Amino acid sequence: MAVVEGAEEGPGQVSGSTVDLDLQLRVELTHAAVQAIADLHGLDLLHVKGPALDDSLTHPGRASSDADVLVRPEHVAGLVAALPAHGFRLVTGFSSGSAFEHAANHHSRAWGYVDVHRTFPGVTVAASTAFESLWAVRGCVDLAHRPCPVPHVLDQALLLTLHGARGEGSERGRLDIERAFTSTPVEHQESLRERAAELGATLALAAALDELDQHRDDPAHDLWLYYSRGGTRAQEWRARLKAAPTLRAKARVLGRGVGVNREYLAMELGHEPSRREMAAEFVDRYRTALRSLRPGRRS
Amino acid sequence: MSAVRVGHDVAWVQGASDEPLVAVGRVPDGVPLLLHGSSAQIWVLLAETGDPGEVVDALHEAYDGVARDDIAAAVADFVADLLGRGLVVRDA
Repeated sequence: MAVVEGAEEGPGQVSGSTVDLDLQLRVELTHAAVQAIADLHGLDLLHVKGPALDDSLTHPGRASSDADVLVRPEHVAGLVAALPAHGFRLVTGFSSGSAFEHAANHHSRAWGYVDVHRTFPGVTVAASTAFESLWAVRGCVDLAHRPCPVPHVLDQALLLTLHGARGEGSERGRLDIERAFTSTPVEHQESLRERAAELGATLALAAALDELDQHRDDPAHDLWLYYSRGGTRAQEWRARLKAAPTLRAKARVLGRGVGVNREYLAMELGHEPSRREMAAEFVDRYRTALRSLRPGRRS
Repeated sequence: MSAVRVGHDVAWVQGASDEPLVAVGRVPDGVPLLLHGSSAQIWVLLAETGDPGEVVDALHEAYDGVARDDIAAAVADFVADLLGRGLVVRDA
Protein backbone atom coordinates (compact mmCIF):
# COMPACT_ATOMS: atom_id res chain seq x y z
CA MET A 1 0.00 0.00 0.00
CA ALA A 2 1.39 3.37 -0.95
CA VAL A 3 2.43 5.65 1.89
CA VAL A 4 2.25 9.34 2.48
CA GLU A 5 5.26 11.04 0.96
CA GLY A 6 7.06 14.22 1.78
CA ALA A 7 8.40 15.62 4.99
CA GLU A 8 8.20 18.81 6.97
CA GLU A 9 10.89 21.05 8.39
CA GLY A 10 8.68 23.87 9.46
CA PRO A 11 6.07 26.28 8.14
CA GLY A 12 6.51 26.78 4.43
CA GLN A 13 9.73 24.78 4.27
CA VAL A 14 10.32 21.58 2.40
CA SER A 15 12.91 18.94 3.04
CA GLY A 16 15.31 17.58 0.47
CA SER A 17 12.70 15.02 -0.51
CA THR A 18 10.43 17.64 -2.08
CA VAL A 19 7.42 16.04 -3.68
CA ASP A 20 6.90 17.01 -7.28
CA LEU A 21 3.30 18.06 -7.64
CA ASP A 22 1.35 18.33 -10.85
CA LEU A 23 1.23 22.03 -11.62
CA GLN A 24 -2.53 22.31 -11.87
CA LEU A 25 -2.96 20.56 -8.52
CA ARG A 26 -0.41 22.86 -6.98
CA VAL A 27 -2.10 26.00 -8.33
CA GLU A 28 -5.41 25.00 -6.81
CA LEU A 29 -3.67 24.35 -3.51
CA THR A 30 -1.98 27.74 -3.80
CA HIS A 31 -5.38 29.38 -4.01
CA ALA A 32 -6.42 27.58 -0.84
CA ALA A 33 -3.22 28.54 0.95
CA VAL A 34 -3.60 32.20 0.05
CA GLN A 35 -7.24 32.17 1.11
CA ALA A 36 -6.19 30.68 4.43
CA ILE A 37 -3.77 33.56 4.89
CA ALA A 38 -6.48 36.05 3.97
CA ASP A 39 -8.86 34.44 6.46
CA LEU A 40 -6.22 34.50 9.21
CA HIS A 41 -5.57 38.18 8.70
CA GLY A 42 -9.07 39.39 7.82
CA LEU A 43 -8.24 40.35 4.24
CA ASP A 44 -10.66 40.54 1.32
CA LEU A 45 -9.60 39.09 -1.98
CA LEU A 46 -11.17 37.55 -5.05
CA HIS A 47 -9.70 34.53 -6.78
CA VAL A 48 -9.50 35.10 -10.52
CA LYS A 49 -8.58 33.09 -13.62
CA GLY A 50 -7.15 29.57 -13.54
CA PRO A 51 -9.01 27.05 -11.41
CA ALA A 52 -11.18 29.88 -10.05
CA LEU A 53 -12.81 30.28 -13.45
CA ASP A 54 -16.36 29.12 -13.94
CA ASP A 55 -16.51 25.97 -16.07
CA SER A 56 -18.37 27.90 -18.76
CA LEU A 57 -15.32 30.08 -19.32
CA THR A 58 -12.51 27.59 -19.42
CA HIS A 59 -11.45 25.51 -22.41
CA PRO A 60 -9.45 22.30 -22.85
CA GLY A 61 -5.78 22.81 -22.30
CA ARG A 62 -6.20 26.13 -20.55
CA ALA A 63 -3.65 25.91 -17.78
CA SER A 64 -2.32 28.31 -15.18
CA SER A 65 1.18 28.47 -13.79
CA ASP A 66 0.22 30.49 -10.75
CA ALA A 67 -2.71 31.52 -8.61
CA ASP A 68 -4.14 34.97 -9.28
CA VAL A 69 -5.92 36.97 -6.62
CA LEU A 70 -7.36 40.48 -6.81
CA VAL A 71 -7.07 42.11 -3.41
CA ARG A 72 -9.10 44.90 -1.87
CA PRO A 73 -6.74 47.87 -2.33
CA GLU A 74 -6.88 48.74 1.35
CA HIS A 75 -5.77 45.20 2.17
CA VAL A 76 -2.91 44.85 -0.30
CA ALA A 77 -0.28 46.06 2.13
CA GLY A 78 -1.60 43.70 4.77
CA LEU A 79 -1.39 40.70 2.48
CA VAL A 80 2.06 41.60 1.22
CA ALA A 81 3.23 41.99 4.82
CA ALA A 82 1.69 38.68 5.85
CA LEU A 83 2.98 36.50 3.01
CA PRO A 84 6.63 36.15 4.17
CA ALA A 85 5.54 34.83 7.55
CA HIS A 86 3.82 32.01 5.70
CA GLY A 87 6.74 31.05 3.52
CA PHE A 88 6.18 33.29 0.51
CA ARG A 89 8.99 35.45 -0.85
CA LEU A 90 8.69 38.32 -3.29
CA VAL A 91 9.76 37.49 -6.84
CA THR A 92 8.75 40.63 -8.74
CA GLY A 93 7.28 43.77 -7.21
CA PHE A 94 4.38 45.84 -8.45
CA SER A 95 6.56 48.32 -10.27
CA SER A 96 8.73 45.63 -11.85
CA GLY A 97 6.06 43.79 -13.78
CA SER A 98 3.76 45.10 -16.46
CA ALA A 99 3.29 48.66 -17.62
CA PHE A 100 0.16 48.73 -15.48
CA GLU A 101 2.17 47.94 -12.33
CA HIS A 102 -0.82 45.91 -11.32
CA ALA A 103 0.58 42.75 -9.79
CA ALA A 104 3.36 41.43 -7.61
CA ASN A 105 4.49 37.83 -7.82
CA HIS A 106 5.34 35.82 -4.73
CA HIS A 107 6.62 32.27 -4.40
CA SER A 108 6.39 29.62 -1.73
CA ARG A 109 8.46 26.46 -1.94
CA ALA A 110 5.50 24.64 -0.48
CA TRP A 111 2.64 26.18 -2.45
CA GLY A 112 4.09 27.71 -5.62
CA TYR A 113 3.44 31.10 -7.19
CA VAL A 114 0.75 33.65 -6.44
CA ASP A 115 0.12 36.84 -8.39
CA VAL A 116 -1.22 39.49 -6.05
CA HIS A 117 -3.23 41.97 -8.08
CA ARG A 118 -3.94 45.41 -6.69
CA THR A 119 -5.73 46.50 -9.88
CA PHE A 120 -6.86 44.79 -13.06
CA PRO A 121 -5.44 46.12 -16.33
CA GLY A 122 -8.14 47.76 -18.37
CA VAL A 123 -10.31 48.75 -15.42
CA THR A 124 -9.86 52.49 -15.06
CA VAL A 125 -12.30 53.50 -12.32
CA ALA A 126 -10.64 53.90 -8.92
CA ALA A 127 -9.30 50.58 -7.66
CA SER A 128 -11.35 50.73 -4.47
CA THR A 129 -14.52 51.46 -6.41
CA ALA A 130 -13.81 48.64 -8.84
CA PHE A 131 -13.10 46.12 -6.11
CA GLU A 132 -16.16 47.02 -4.10
CA SER A 133 -18.29 46.70 -7.22
CA LEU A 134 -16.90 43.23 -7.92
CA TRP A 135 -17.08 42.22 -4.26
CA ALA A 136 -20.72 43.22 -3.92
CA VAL A 137 -21.86 40.57 -6.38
CA ARG A 138 -19.21 37.94 -5.72
CA GLY A 139 -19.72 34.23 -5.65
CA CYS A 140 -17.88 31.48 -3.78
CA VAL A 141 -16.31 28.27 -4.99
CA ASP A 142 -14.37 25.54 -3.28
CA LEU A 143 -10.75 25.45 -4.35
CA ALA A 144 -8.95 22.48 -2.88
CA HIS A 145 -11.98 22.17 -0.63
CA ARG A 146 -11.54 25.66 0.76
CA PRO A 147 -14.31 28.25 0.19
CA CYS A 148 -12.84 31.03 -1.93
CA PRO A 149 -14.57 34.24 -3.03
CA VAL A 150 -14.70 34.70 -6.80
CA PRO A 151 -16.18 37.38 -9.04
CA HIS A 152 -19.70 36.93 -10.37
CA VAL A 153 -19.67 34.85 -13.54
CA LEU A 154 -20.40 37.93 -15.66
CA ASP A 155 -17.45 39.72 -14.09
CA GLN A 156 -15.29 36.65 -14.60
CA ALA A 157 -16.18 36.80 -18.29
CA LEU A 158 -15.30 40.47 -18.46
CA LEU A 159 -11.99 40.07 -16.64
CA LEU A 160 -11.07 37.13 -18.83
CA THR A 161 -11.86 39.16 -21.93
CA LEU A 162 -9.75 42.06 -20.68
CA HIS A 163 -6.94 39.64 -19.91
CA GLY A 164 -7.22 38.25 -23.42
CA ALA A 165 -6.93 41.78 -24.76
CA ARG A 166 -3.31 41.77 -23.57
CA GLY A 167 -2.52 38.52 -25.30
CA GLU A 168 -0.57 40.15 -28.12
CA GLY A 169 -2.52 38.10 -30.58
CA SER A 170 -1.82 34.77 -28.86
CA GLU A 171 -4.01 31.76 -29.48
CA ARG A 172 -4.81 31.48 -25.80
CA GLY A 173 -5.92 35.11 -25.66
CA ARG A 174 -8.06 34.62 -28.72
CA LEU A 175 -9.69 31.53 -27.22
CA ASP A 176 -10.35 33.30 -23.94
CA ILE A 177 -12.05 36.18 -25.72
CA GLU A 178 -14.06 33.82 -27.83
CA ARG A 179 -15.17 31.78 -24.85
CA ALA A 180 -15.96 34.76 -22.66
CA PHE A 181 -17.46 37.10 -25.22
CA THR A 182 -17.70 36.48 -28.94
CA SER A 183 -19.32 33.06 -28.74
CA THR A 184 -21.93 34.20 -26.18
CA PRO A 185 -25.47 35.41 -26.91
CA VAL A 186 -25.95 39.03 -27.95
CA GLU A 187 -27.77 39.82 -24.71
CA HIS A 188 -24.78 38.55 -22.73
CA GLN A 189 -22.41 40.63 -24.84
CA GLU A 190 -24.51 43.72 -24.17
CA SER A 191 -24.37 43.00 -20.46
CA LEU A 192 -20.60 42.72 -20.68
CA ARG A 193 -20.35 46.03 -22.52
CA GLU A 194 -22.46 47.71 -19.86
CA ARG A 195 -20.35 46.20 -17.11
CA ALA A 196 -17.18 47.31 -18.86
CA ALA A 197 -18.54 50.85 -19.02
CA GLU A 198 -19.30 50.75 -15.28
CA LEU A 199 -15.72 49.74 -14.55
CA GLY A 200 -14.11 52.14 -17.03
CA ALA A 201 -12.96 49.25 -19.19
CA THR A 202 -14.50 50.21 -22.52
CA LEU A 203 -11.14 50.85 -24.19
CA ALA A 204 -9.66 47.57 -23.05
CA LEU A 205 -12.77 45.74 -24.18
CA ALA A 206 -12.43 47.42 -27.55
CA ALA A 207 -8.87 46.10 -27.74
CA ALA A 208 -10.14 42.60 -27.09
CA LEU A 209 -12.80 42.91 -29.77
CA ASP A 210 -10.63 44.59 -32.40
CA GLU A 211 -12.67 47.78 -32.08
CA LEU A 212 -9.83 50.15 -31.20
CA ASP A 213 -10.48 52.18 -34.35
CA GLN A 214 -13.44 53.64 -32.50
CA HIS A 215 -11.10 55.04 -29.85
CA ARG A 216 -8.25 56.54 -31.87
CA ASP A 217 -8.27 59.72 -29.79
CA ASP A 218 -7.84 57.91 -26.47
CA PRO A 219 -4.29 58.49 -25.10
CA ALA A 220 -4.10 54.79 -24.22
CA HIS A 221 -5.16 53.66 -27.70
CA ASP A 222 -1.62 52.86 -28.85
CA LEU A 223 -0.80 51.02 -25.64
CA TRP A 224 -3.79 48.73 -26.00
CA LEU A 225 -3.00 48.26 -29.67
CA TYR A 226 0.48 47.13 -28.64
CA TYR A 227 -0.81 44.76 -26.00
CA SER A 228 -3.48 43.28 -28.23
CA ARG A 229 -1.32 42.80 -31.32
CA GLY A 230 2.26 42.97 -30.10
CA GLY A 231 5.00 45.17 -31.51
CA THR A 232 8.55 46.35 -31.05
CA ARG A 233 10.03 47.58 -27.81
CA ALA A 234 10.28 51.07 -29.23
CA GLN A 235 6.58 51.00 -30.08
CA GLU A 236 5.84 49.92 -26.54
CA TRP A 237 7.89 52.80 -25.12
CA ARG A 238 6.14 55.34 -27.33
CA ALA A 239 2.73 53.91 -26.43
CA ARG A 240 3.49 53.98 -22.73
CA LEU A 241 4.69 57.56 -22.96
CA LYS A 242 1.57 58.62 -24.80
CA ALA A 243 -0.68 56.86 -22.29
CA ALA A 244 1.06 58.33 -19.24
CA PRO A 245 -1.38 60.95 -17.93
CA THR A 246 1.07 63.31 -16.19
CA LEU A 247 4.61 64.54 -16.66
CA ARG A 248 5.71 62.62 -13.60
CA ALA A 249 4.17 59.47 -15.01
CA LYS A 250 5.97 60.06 -18.30
CA ALA A 251 9.25 60.49 -16.43
CA ARG A 252 8.71 57.17 -14.71
CA VAL A 253 8.05 55.49 -18.03
CA LEU A 254 11.26 56.92 -19.41
CA GLY A 255 13.18 55.74 -16.37
CA ARG A 256 11.79 52.24 -16.61
CA GLY A 257 12.36 52.11 -20.33
CA VAL A 258 16.05 52.68 -19.90
CA GLY A 259 16.57 50.75 -16.69
CA VAL A 260 17.11 47.06 -16.21
CA ASN A 261 14.66 44.96 -14.24
CA ARG A 262 16.91 43.46 -11.60
CA GLU A 263 14.35 40.88 -10.52
CA TYR A 264 13.75 39.54 -14.03
CA LEU A 265 17.47 39.44 -14.71
CA ALA A 266 18.01 37.54 -11.47
CA MET A 267 15.44 34.98 -12.59
CA GLU A 268 17.13 34.62 -15.97
CA LEU A 269 20.60 34.26 -14.48
CA GLY A 270 19.58 32.15 -11.54
CA HIS A 271 21.44 34.42 -9.14
CA GLU A 272 21.52 38.01 -7.94
CA PRO A 273 23.09 39.96 -10.81
CA SER A 274 26.43 41.68 -10.32
CA ARG A 275 27.09 45.28 -11.33
CA ARG A 276 28.84 44.06 -14.45
CA GLU A 277 25.89 41.87 -15.38
CA MET A 278 23.44 44.74 -14.81
CA ALA A 279 25.58 46.98 -16.98
CA ALA A 280 25.82 44.38 -19.73
CA GLU A 281 22.04 43.94 -19.69
CA PHE A 282 21.54 47.70 -19.89
CA VAL A 283 23.81 47.92 -22.93
CA ASP A 284 22.01 45.01 -24.53
CA ARG A 285 18.59 46.64 -23.97
CA TYR A 286 19.87 49.88 -25.42
CA ARG A 287 21.20 48.08 -28.49
CA THR A 288 17.95 46.13 -28.88
CA ALA A 289 15.89 49.30 -28.71
CA LEU A 290 18.23 51.01 -31.13
CA ARG A 291 17.79 48.18 -33.61
CA SER A 292 14.02 48.36 -33.34
CA LEU A 293 14.10 52.11 -33.98
CA ARG A 294 16.20 51.68 -37.12
CA PRO A 295 14.86 48.68 -39.01
CA GLY A 296 17.08 47.39 -41.76
CA ARG A 297 20.39 48.69 -40.40
CA ARG A 298 23.00 46.11 -39.53
CA SER A 299 23.83 45.91 -35.85
CA MET B 1 -11.76 2.66 14.67
CA SER B 2 -13.48 5.88 15.62
CA ALA B 3 -14.87 8.34 13.10
CA VAL B 4 -12.61 11.06 11.74
CA ARG B 5 -13.05 14.13 9.59
CA VAL B 6 -10.77 16.22 7.46
CA GLY B 7 -9.13 18.99 9.50
CA HIS B 8 -10.63 22.45 9.06
CA ASP B 9 -7.29 23.82 7.86
CA VAL B 10 -6.71 21.10 5.30
CA ALA B 11 -6.79 21.72 1.57
CA TRP B 12 -6.78 18.87 -0.89
CA VAL B 13 -7.25 18.17 -4.54
CA GLN B 14 -7.78 14.99 -6.46
CA GLY B 15 -5.72 14.52 -9.60
CA ALA B 16 -7.30 13.67 -12.93
CA SER B 17 -5.33 10.62 -13.94
CA ASP B 18 -5.79 6.87 -14.24
CA GLU B 19 -4.01 6.28 -10.95
CA PRO B 20 -5.72 7.64 -7.84
CA LEU B 21 -3.83 10.78 -6.86
CA VAL B 22 -4.45 13.28 -4.08
CA ALA B 23 -2.43 16.30 -3.00
CA VAL B 24 -3.20 17.36 0.54
CA GLY B 25 -1.78 19.82 3.02
CA ARG B 26 -2.56 22.04 5.97
CA VAL B 27 -2.90 25.63 4.90
CA PRO B 28 -1.20 27.96 5.04
CA ASP B 29 1.80 26.70 6.99
CA GLY B 30 1.95 23.00 6.18
CA VAL B 31 3.65 21.20 3.32
CA PRO B 32 1.62 19.57 0.57
CA LEU B 33 1.88 15.81 0.45
CA LEU B 34 1.13 13.53 -2.44
CA LEU B 35 -0.94 10.41 -1.91
CA HIS B 36 -1.18 7.91 -4.70
CA GLY B 37 -2.69 4.52 -5.26
CA SER B 38 -4.46 3.02 -2.30
CA SER B 39 -3.49 5.90 0.01
CA ALA B 40 -5.33 8.29 -2.28
CA GLN B 41 -8.29 5.93 -2.37
CA ILE B 42 -8.46 5.77 1.42
CA TRP B 43 -8.25 9.55 1.67
CA VAL B 44 -11.08 10.15 -0.77
CA LEU B 45 -13.28 7.59 0.96
CA LEU B 46 -12.44 8.94 4.41
CA ALA B 47 -13.20 12.47 3.29
CA GLU B 48 -16.60 11.33 2.14
CA THR B 49 -17.65 9.05 4.96
CA GLY B 50 -15.38 9.76 7.91
CA ASP B 51 -15.89 6.17 9.01
CA PRO B 52 -12.76 4.01 8.71
CA GLY B 53 -14.92 0.90 9.08
CA GLU B 54 -16.92 1.82 6.00
CA VAL B 55 -13.68 2.53 4.17
CA VAL B 56 -12.40 -0.95 5.05
CA ASP B 57 -15.65 -2.49 3.82
CA ALA B 58 -15.48 -0.58 0.55
CA LEU B 59 -11.86 -1.55 -0.06
CA HIS B 60 -12.48 -5.16 0.87
CA GLU B 61 -15.17 -5.25 -1.76
CA ALA B 62 -12.91 -3.60 -4.32
CA TYR B 63 -9.77 -5.63 -3.61
CA ASP B 64 -11.01 -9.10 -4.23
CA GLY B 65 -8.73 -11.67 -2.59
CA VAL B 66 -7.20 -9.43 0.07
CA ALA B 67 -8.12 -10.40 3.63
CA ARG B 68 -10.32 -7.89 5.40
CA ASP B 69 -8.09 -7.96 8.49
CA ASP B 70 -5.11 -6.99 6.38
CA ILE B 71 -7.01 -4.09 4.87
CA ALA B 72 -8.26 -3.01 8.29
CA ALA B 73 -4.74 -3.02 9.71
CA ALA B 74 -3.40 -0.97 6.81
CA VAL B 75 -6.25 1.52 7.06
CA ALA B 76 -5.74 1.84 10.80
CA ASP B 77 -2.04 2.54 10.34
CA PHE B 78 -2.75 5.08 7.65
CA VAL B 79 -5.42 6.85 9.70
CA ALA B 80 -3.02 7.00 12.66
CA ASP B 81 -0.45 8.62 10.37
CA LEU B 82 -3.00 11.15 9.13
CA LEU B 83 -4.06 11.92 12.72
CA GLY B 84 -0.45 12.46 13.68
CA ARG B 85 -0.02 14.96 10.85
CA GLY B 86 -3.24 16.75 11.73
CA LEU B 87 -4.71 16.05 8.32
CA VAL B 88 -7.68 14.36 9.93
CA VAL B 89 -9.08 14.79 13.41
CA ARG B 90 -11.31 12.59 15.49
CA ASP B 91 -14.95 13.42 14.94
CA ALA B 92 -16.57 14.19 18.29
